[in-house]
Amino acid sequence: MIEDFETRAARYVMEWGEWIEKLRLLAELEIDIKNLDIYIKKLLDLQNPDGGFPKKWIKGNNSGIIETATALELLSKLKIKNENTQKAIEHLLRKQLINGSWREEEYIKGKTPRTNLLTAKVTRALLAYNIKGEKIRKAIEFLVRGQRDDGFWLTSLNETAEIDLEATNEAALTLLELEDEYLNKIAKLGIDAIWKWFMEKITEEWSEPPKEALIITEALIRAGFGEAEAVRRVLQSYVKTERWRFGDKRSISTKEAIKVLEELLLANAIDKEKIRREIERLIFIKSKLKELIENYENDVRNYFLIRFEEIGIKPKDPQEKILLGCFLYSMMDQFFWTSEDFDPQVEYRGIVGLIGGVHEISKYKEFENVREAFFRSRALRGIARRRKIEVARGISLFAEFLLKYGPFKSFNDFAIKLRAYILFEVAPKISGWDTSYNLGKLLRLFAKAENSTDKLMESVILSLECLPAVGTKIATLFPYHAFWIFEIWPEVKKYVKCPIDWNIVKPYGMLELSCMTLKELRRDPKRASSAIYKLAEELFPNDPAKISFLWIVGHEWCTKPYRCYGLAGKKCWIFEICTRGRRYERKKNLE
Amino acid sequence: MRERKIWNEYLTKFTARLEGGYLENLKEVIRRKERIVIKHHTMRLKKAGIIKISKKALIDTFTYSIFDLYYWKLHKKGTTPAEELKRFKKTINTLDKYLDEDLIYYTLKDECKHIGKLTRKNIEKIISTLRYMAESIERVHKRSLIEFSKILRNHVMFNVSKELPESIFSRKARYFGLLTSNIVDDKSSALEAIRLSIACLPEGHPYTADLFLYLTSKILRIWNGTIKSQLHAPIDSGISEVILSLGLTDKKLKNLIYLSLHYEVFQTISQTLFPEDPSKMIVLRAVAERWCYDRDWKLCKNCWLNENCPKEY
Repeated sequence: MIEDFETRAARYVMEWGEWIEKLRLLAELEIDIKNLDIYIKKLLDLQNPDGGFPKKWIKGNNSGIIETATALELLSKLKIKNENTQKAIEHLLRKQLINGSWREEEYIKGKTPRTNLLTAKVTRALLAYNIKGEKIRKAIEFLVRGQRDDGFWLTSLNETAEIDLEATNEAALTLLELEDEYLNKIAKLGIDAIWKWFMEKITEEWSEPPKEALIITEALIRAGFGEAEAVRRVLQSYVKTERWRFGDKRSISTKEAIKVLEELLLANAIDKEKIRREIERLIFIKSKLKELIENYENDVRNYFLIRFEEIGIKPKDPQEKILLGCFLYSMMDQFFWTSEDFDPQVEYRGIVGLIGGVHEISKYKEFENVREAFFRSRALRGIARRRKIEVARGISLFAEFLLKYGPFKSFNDFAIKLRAYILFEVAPKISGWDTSYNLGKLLRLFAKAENSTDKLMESVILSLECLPAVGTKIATLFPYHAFWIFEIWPEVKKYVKCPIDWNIVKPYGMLELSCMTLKELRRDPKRASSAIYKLAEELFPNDPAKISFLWIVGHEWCTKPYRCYGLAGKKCWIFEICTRGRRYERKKNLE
Repeated sequence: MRERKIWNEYLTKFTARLEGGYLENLKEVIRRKERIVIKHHTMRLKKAGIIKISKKALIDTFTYSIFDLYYWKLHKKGTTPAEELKRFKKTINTLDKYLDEDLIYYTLKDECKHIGKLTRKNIEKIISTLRYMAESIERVHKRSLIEFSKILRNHVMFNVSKELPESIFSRKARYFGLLTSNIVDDKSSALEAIRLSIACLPEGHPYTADLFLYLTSKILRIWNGTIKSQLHAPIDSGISEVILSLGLTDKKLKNLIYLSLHYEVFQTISQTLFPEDPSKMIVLRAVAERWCYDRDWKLCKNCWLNENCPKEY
């Protein structure tokens, strides 16, 4: 069980956070820059030719002022000064308005532009690079002009604008950084206003502090109020409140978590060293895992190919045979819970024995043939009659598709035909609330004529989910088998996802990469799916399905306790980085 | 399973009354008063200027059905949907003008007294809904329900689905799916396709769809042939309160979106009481308007259903 706040928080951010949030935390902790290569490269790769960074951090979007300022601030913390930073600085200076302020170019409907906040943030980012001169002077003048008599800054200079606590916080911090008596006095006035507001709120009873408290505490701490009882109470409440237990993604947003951590670190309210240790451990495990996965890359594919060869499907077989075989095998996988000794390979052979080889697709097209085989299969005795009929229908519909439209020239050909087949031939035959939802989404992709590979992959998954008895798992498993293992169309490997079940989740938990305990993960393994996908994207952006390495580890070792200990355990691919492996080694050394 | 839930959780009182024969009088009163309600709706449409059977009448009726969604809001302000539509029609007097979103916006804002005061988001939804419907009606050439529904279905499936913003689409995706599954080959599937198509539109509410079909088939008699038994009775919060007062449901029906459990409960009641014409239940809306709903106190003394109402509110 993870005991302390620091470890939990660090793990939470590294597990669920976006890469930019992770970079923010790592920069705050002054982690060795060599370990941040992936994130820094990702950040610099995003930079637009005009020097700005794209809005919402999506490559190709127009440059955003706030994103560029944030990137610049981060890079300054990492002490990076190069051509990229110079271009970003020039971009910001170029975008300054005549009155000295900054404002996003694209007007967002219904949102008041927060000119003061933006100006303060940009000025702070520029000051971090020691930029001086006319432009900075004008920006500071704008900020000074924008302060109200009571010390607050508003959202903009507009008379109808409202008090903006975040802008006040940011503006005060910017002015504090300048060593000028007059400007420091103005900053103090802003901080006094925040403090007054804060004291009024603090007298109220809270179950947990209001969101505004998080926005303004940074200015208060920097201005020397960090030791004040009221601020301490706020900071402590984050550590103690139940919501901040960092269970899973639902507990809090990572953006908030980062902000809290930054402020707690600033006030020295938590142990920085502990967080750093945990983060360094996580970085080490991830890099080691990446290395292992790359070493075992061929073994992973061969592992599955051998399993398929045992049931009579080889990479050189005709395309339709592989497709139907993979589909049938994936469908069998959903019955794994029927009995402890259920083996999809054995059952697959049983079904194929009753219907005929998968190369005889016409036999699978006949619903009655498939239905009969499923009812005669011994292992599927406990399964509800309705379920078996649905599975049989799903298989016969897929076989009909292969027979009618195969062979396929390319992945695009396959995906487009499957999408049309589901929408115009299968749709009238199927029903159900969830199926309708998927069908609706598929229709939108069709109507928009989305034909890029990633959208077509989405179409394939949605199309499969529309077939009877096919859920998310089978819809991920089939492309994984057909496109990643058999590489029917190698160009789509980038878009294939690894199926998530307990086999992959357990080693993920054993490596202590998750802030959830093994018990929590066991209860609902799917809860970790987005975190595992995130990890896969981070380690292998061009082939995320490589993470299925963990599936084999889980299937061969982690979920079989007798193989996880002793000498057998030493053969485990992740033995050297696994907690259980380390414990075993330690015990042996003591003996 | 769903049907069992409907009968066990919402219709126990209804079943008891039905089996005890206590609902016969109520059915009789509703049957008798339906004629008045039909007359009443005819008058309203006339007042709004919908008289001749034409493409224009179709889109105007649809606009009226949308405005009627806001009946209770307008009622409080001392106006009615028919009056608002009359004002609206002063400017939007041809089918082409329904295709001009800016013109509709300024008409709603400048001409309509109260609909124009809805939130911007609602107004935008109304405008795009009207445009989508007008685009479909423009392609209709025959007074055939099946043809109309096929055109509407295709337009919604292939044009509306790609134009809707993601936030609206994600809430409507199920209806698009159901619409894809529903192939139009007879009157029953044609009606279902119209209901689903309207549910897919940004301001598509089942009340709008059911009222539109009721008005076009029973009041204006636009469609050839009879489809009475396949019509759905429109339901809104007013009707929901009346059926609760009448003791027809065990709980108040609140979630009235298309195909929700509460919606199906009401349709089950309507079809059980009037299998030959479930839309007769629209009489309850008239009761709600006149005596029962959205007022400081209920005027039970004059109500048509006074003698048959156990007043279980």
